[in-house]
Amino acid sequence: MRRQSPQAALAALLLLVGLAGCQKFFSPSSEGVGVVGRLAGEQEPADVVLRRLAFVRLADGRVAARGTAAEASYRQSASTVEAMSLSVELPPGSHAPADVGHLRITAPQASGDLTARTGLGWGGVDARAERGDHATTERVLIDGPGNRVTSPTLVDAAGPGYAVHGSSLTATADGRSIRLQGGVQGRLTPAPQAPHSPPPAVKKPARKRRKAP
Amino acid sequence: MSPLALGLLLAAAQQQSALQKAPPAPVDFGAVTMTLEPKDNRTFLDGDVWLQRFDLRVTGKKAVAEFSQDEPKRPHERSGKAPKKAADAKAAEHGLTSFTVDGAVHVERPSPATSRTADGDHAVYDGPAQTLLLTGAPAVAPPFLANLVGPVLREGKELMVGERMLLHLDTDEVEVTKPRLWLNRSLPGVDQEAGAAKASTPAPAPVRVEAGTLRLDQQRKVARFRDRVVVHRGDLTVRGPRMDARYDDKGELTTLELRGGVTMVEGDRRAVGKQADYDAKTRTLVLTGDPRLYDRGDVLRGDRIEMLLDTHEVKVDKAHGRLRPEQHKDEPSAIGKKP
Repeated sequence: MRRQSPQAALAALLLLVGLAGCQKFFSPSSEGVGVVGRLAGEQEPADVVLRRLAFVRLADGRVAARGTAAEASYRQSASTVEAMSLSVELPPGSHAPADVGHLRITAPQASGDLTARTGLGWGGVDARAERGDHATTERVLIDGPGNRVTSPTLVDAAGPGYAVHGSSLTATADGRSIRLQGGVQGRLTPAPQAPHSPPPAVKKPARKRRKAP
Repeated sequence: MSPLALGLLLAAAQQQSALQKAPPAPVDFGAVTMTLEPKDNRTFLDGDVWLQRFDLRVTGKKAVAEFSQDEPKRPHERSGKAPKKAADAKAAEHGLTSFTVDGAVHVERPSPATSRTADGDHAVYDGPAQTLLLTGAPAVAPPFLANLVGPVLREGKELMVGERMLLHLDTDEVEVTKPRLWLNRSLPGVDQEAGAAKASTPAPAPVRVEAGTLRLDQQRKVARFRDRVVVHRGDLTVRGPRMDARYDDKGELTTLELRGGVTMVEGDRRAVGKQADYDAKTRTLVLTGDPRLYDRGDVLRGDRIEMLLDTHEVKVDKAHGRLRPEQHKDEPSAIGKKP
């Protein structure tokens, strides 16, 4: 078995993180299920295993994502990387929506196919935003080429003024559109009524003083 | 039952009056699918949409929920000096501003006594104002209402239509534009206490009320009709600029108070006065304020004119006027001419 350098494994893991950061999840199609099955049946030992690692992804000289993992395994022949206890933090404006602040995503298990640019997080994926948003689901799939994020399992999300429960989720990678389907329920808190503010004071034009003759 | 009780249909529970100063009540919702567009601060719901606020439930085919816009961060928030407080402030700003339901809109407020429903085509829930505006004709309109353009409100046998209905969810008030109201329970012969024993009473005549606007005030137990009020009951028509309908605790009509100049027409009989009061219990109409009664050439004046609507009996206090002999009844009279 060939051994790969730790840098290669780290690069592979960073790609996975990058995928997660870009929110490019793949849909629950046969392709996605195939990735899960292949990973689940994987018997070949890893080429590289890293434990208690931390990583940072830079884009255009700025931090695009940072995170930690308890363990990461890279298999070159399958072009896959697996991680345990993965935690990714996305600063606002990078890949996370700007108005929610920092976004932290954790997954007990994660895996990625580097060739297909697809990924999977499972075992209870959790996302928390600085603003107070919190979402959980059992499994999240990433489709890099398709620019899609999906979760075929129950999704619970709550935040300022809302709480929602859906049977499954599909979203675009840029977060412009997030679709919950298969039956959705939730609670919304109305915005408070704007207090009546007094009308702005009108400034009287200053009188010009006449010079004394 | 009464218009006020109809108002109860869409009003929130009575305990809500105590919460007028409290933050707006949360609303629950459901749908088959939900599509969020965070950048535009709105969410689309499709398929079997429902919205619930306490015991008020609104259903429809699809809906759009819109949220308050986040204000741009101030410089000190950008600098990160107070990130926690900044996040809290943004959280406080975020909230539902409107929830618009479209297509076969159905509103109901469950009640053990009777069914209370409203139907239209379009409903807008205003979160900060805590109101629900119902417009558009329902998909299935009552058969006797042709060319319906507005929503329909029902409670038991009673029915009201209007161009638009605005419900104040906290104060239990309902505003109706161009209301047309059918009162079926306050009719002779359908008195529940009398039951079948009153089989000999006259056949019930539906009472219909039309006006420019209607405001139902549950706390004061009054329905205020304004702008060209017209009351129809059989061949009786009463007109006036404004009318207040008052109700008892059971929601039963007690009095109708017409003010500002009242005209009553029933067949050949016509009566005018500055004000009129209708007693629902005795079913009598009392005209006061220089009242006059014109009846086929007869002219009667008095301090008050009382008309029993079931028997067509008329009583005039301190009556004076002119009575024509029967053979001259149909001759034209200058006094009796309509103004």
